[in-house]
Amino acid sequence: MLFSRSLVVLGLSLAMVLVGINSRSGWMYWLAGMLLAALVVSWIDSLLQVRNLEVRRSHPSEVGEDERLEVTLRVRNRGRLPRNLLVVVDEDPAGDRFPRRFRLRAPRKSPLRYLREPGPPSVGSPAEEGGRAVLLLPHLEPGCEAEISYRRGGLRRGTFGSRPVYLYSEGLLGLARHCSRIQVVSPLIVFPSYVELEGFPLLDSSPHVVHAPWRDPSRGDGLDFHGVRDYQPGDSLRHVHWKTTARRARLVVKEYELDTKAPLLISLDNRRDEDNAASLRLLDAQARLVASVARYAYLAGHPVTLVAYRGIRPFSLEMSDFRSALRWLAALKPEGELGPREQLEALHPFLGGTTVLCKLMCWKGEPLPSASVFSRGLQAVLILVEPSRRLAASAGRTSAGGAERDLLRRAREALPGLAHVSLYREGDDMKRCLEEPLSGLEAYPYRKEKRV
Amino acid sequence: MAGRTFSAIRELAAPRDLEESRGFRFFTWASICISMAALAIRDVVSPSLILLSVILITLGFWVSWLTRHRPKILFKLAIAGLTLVALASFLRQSYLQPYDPRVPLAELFLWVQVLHSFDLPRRRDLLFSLVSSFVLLALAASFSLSVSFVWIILLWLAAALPCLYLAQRSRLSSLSHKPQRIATLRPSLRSVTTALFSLLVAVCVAGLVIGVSLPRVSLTYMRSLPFSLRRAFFSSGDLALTNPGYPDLPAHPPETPLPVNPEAYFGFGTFLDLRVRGEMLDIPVMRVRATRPAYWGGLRFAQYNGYSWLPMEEKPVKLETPSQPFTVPTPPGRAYVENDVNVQTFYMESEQPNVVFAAYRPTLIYFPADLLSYDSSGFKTPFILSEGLVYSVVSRCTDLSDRELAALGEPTRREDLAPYLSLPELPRRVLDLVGEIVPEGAGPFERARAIEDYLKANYDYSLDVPPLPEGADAVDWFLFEQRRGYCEHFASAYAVLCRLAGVPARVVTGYSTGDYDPFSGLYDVGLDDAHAWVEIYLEGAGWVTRDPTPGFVVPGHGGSLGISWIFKDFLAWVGRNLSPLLPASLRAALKKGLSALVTGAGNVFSGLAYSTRREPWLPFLLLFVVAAPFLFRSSARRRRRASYLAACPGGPLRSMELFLQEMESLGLALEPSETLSEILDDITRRFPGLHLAEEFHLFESVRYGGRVLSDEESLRFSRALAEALRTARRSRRAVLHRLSRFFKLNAKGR
Repeated sequence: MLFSRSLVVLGLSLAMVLVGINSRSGWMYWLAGMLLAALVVSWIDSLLQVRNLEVRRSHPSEVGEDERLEVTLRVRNRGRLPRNLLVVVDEDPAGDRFPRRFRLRAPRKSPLRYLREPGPPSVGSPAEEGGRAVLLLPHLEPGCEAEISYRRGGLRRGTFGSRPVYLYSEGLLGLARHCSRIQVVSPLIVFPSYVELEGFPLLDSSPHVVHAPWRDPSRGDGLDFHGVRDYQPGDSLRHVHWKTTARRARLVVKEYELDTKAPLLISLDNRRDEDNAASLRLLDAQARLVASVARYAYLAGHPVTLVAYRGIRPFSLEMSDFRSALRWLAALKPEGELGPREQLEALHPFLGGTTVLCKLMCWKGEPLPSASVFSRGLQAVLILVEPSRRLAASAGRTSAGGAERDLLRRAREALPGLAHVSLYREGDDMKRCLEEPLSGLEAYPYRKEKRV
Repeated sequence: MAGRTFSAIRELAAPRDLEESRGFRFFTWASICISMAALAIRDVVSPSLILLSVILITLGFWVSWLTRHRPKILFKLAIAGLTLVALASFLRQSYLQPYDPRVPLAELFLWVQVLHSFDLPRRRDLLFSLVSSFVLLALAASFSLSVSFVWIILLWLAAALPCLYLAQRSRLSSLSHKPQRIATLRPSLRSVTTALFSLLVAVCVAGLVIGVSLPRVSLTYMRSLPFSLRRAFFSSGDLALTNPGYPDLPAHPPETPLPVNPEAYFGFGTFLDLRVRGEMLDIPVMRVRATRPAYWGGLRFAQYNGYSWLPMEEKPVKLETPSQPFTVPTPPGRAYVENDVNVQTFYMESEQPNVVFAAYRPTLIYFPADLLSYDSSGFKTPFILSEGLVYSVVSRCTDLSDRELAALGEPTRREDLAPYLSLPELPRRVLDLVGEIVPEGAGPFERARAIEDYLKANYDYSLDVPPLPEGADAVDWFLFEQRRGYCEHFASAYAVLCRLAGVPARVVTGYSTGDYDPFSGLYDVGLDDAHAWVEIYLEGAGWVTRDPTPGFVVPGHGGSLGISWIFKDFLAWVGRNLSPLLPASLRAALKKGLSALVTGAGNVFSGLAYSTRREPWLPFLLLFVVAAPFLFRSSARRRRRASYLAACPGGPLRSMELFLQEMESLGLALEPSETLSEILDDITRRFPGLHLAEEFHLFESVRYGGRVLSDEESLRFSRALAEALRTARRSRRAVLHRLSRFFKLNAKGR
């Protein structure tokens, strides 16, 4: 492919031909021929540079959103020619679309921006800002392998299979360019980031103890005696009720009551929206909120169930460990088709008598729905997640916190069992948002203070 | 306010994107110096000015390197001001010397280079300097008249290619991210030099091919005069004809022929003696730059006296002009068909008679004198044309096809043309011959054409002809006794027979086109190109150049667009320059072989063209025949791929099975109980060059993880295995080869 420098060479050669025609000077044609030859050779050179190369990528398979990923690219030259000035471009895993070709362009600045920010335009680093990693491989001998390692930051929640690596060359002379795209398989799961909560109002204020038989005596014992049952292989001999065993002439073990805390059901709103990027952003924010709440609840001993929607059906995860929850959250996609009310109705099968519901809902200012599940005396927390673009308008309405009070009133009217309401907007302080719900507060409290 | 504005300007002028590579700066400096040296060698600019420029540029590069981090606003303003001064000087010189802007342009670029060299902080500035040095090189090339300029181009390329490489390296480094760690060999100086040398060779070869393939276009509406009046005007001198090779030439041919001087053509004199000729030496006479090839006519002879030709006796007309050019008046009463223009510049390389050589019919003459004379025989200059003299002529040419010429009628103003029809008493058989050759009722051109064809078909060209016997008529003797002769004989016979057939004719002496130098684009005319031909008068077309000598063809125009190709000229040039290196027998064999090849190719193409005219479907059939193997190959490849995929219902499973079978055939012992990782270890141990970890991992995920591969992934997997198999085979062959060599050596030792 040709570009601006190629066009300059073409223009010069055309000028040489015109001067040659005008002056009948044969050397002008030869100089034009030489320029065109440089172009052709550069074109072939850049084409050969990007062929017969093998690329492998390795990195840890799981990483957190706020961590940095150590990526190693191995480029092997399977051809017979050495490679020089080869650019290896590793695509951002979170990229929306991977184009067929890559073009290396110099960053530019307008004169006005130069005045505001003196200095050359910077090339954003993948370690800081994410995006594509553009790496220069100065030389690679035939049959040899080069190893390039770099750090990638700015990761985004998700599960990623394969993504392309572009091999880009402008040849040795930089007069033509070629790019080849190699799809490299390297599975990666990026967990959502989370905050370490010090409290979550509803769970802290309702230490419901459920008396239930502990089904796994080997794990330990509860405080209260529940009853006896026949011995089963695997039961500890410590739990044998010797008196009853003697009476019944067979091994009988004691069962204890377990003091479990109220189960927590966390439901996400993974509705698909017309604006896919916005839906993804909101879902990412919800994933972070859910991860934070789930972690707190899990560590506090609450059985946690996560629910999301695929089409019109809910699907769930009973959290056995926090990592599995993170994996589940990383794999979430905006693929639900139920509205807020239907989402709440679909939670019926998951709700027990003591279940505490934490419902996350994308909210764009519309009236809150009412649902029959709330009429059963359900204790619930509602976390409204609002797109950041509404922040300014909302802030305009909320002098002295009027709008938030109004929101709280409306939410309690619509959902009678609602204990707390939180409103989270992108950029807010997540920890404060979850620890301090809106109820009782005079103004919207979660906005992060501007850095000075 | 002023302070803020100044600081804003300072911010904007702050150097950005600085170029830190010293190598890049050095090679840019070298390419500029080479271009300047080229200008000095071609004598475009005085060597002292070039020396001064080189010193200043070196100083400028040094200063620019030291101050590259500073904004230098006042410095930039000063450079801009001085550049404007240089531009004003260029415009002034162009106004004073409007014919050739190249020298002022060269000086302008020279000064721009010098000034710009003091402020080269960025890569872009250095690249601009490189482009500027190319323009200087092109200017020097436009003055170059010989092939030796190729060495300067090669030298410039040798400096420019590293320049481009270093610029590219610097650009890519600035646009790429810094990796955490990179484990690869750094490019050694040797590897970079090898790569650049390979590129240089590739550029030269490709440049040769492209340069030969570029059509030479003559667009008459885009023409400027490519001459350079670089000599001082001479004062008027004697306008009588003077041939330096024949200093004491009488006005009429003497009784006994003059001895022949092989270093000067006897046809440039007061008469053209047909009794002698002799062979001319191969001395370069002149180089001609022209918009189209032509015969470079010198003198025209109208009177035939049986053994020589004489010019018409008339008083020459003086052409005087205070400023160039000399405008040649059109002869009155004659309608010319002049549908093309030929602009020629003559660079004299040896001393020549005081005759203005030019393609017929000159209309404007740019000559470094204030006086010329002309009559029907041609133009005379006030001094002998000496080596180094340059002059230009604009000629109006008649470019009509034979069919158009055949449509022209008989001359109407016969009294004006009487001298060109008059003849002395000729033998009867000459008159009879005309009656035999010329068809009944044919037009003037057809009559002349019939005579030309007859001469070309029945007479041989030879320089080895005995002297004309005493009292014999030269034309009669040539036509009926010798039946061979040189160009003057053919021209004389043609002119005489044309006059007998009623077509006005005159004999012209001058130089044939010469050898085209495909590099300089000039025609190299040597003394052995001295030639005689004929101009016949056709009513409406004027004097039309015809050449009856076998093996000579009056050069025509390269088609309606004026496009000409130089393949033939290039091959001829290569032949001329290589032939002295080869033995005569090989030379002859090569010449014959190439000639047969060219003739064969020509016959094939003409046959094809003829067949295509008759059977329009033929090209399609041929195209199909040519494309069929490629189509078949492509289709076979597709079928093979499809069959391969079809043969592997499990895709990767089948591929792996086949791969392992093949590996076993290469001597790899596999146990049925071996796991994949054990097999991989075995393979890696046996063939250390194979890296199949990724493929085995993928296979594992398919075989045991239930992963389904896409068609593309499946294909890539199979290809990777096939490639690994090939590598293993190669490696095994290499081992066997080494083993066999080892055994052979042992056997010899024993």
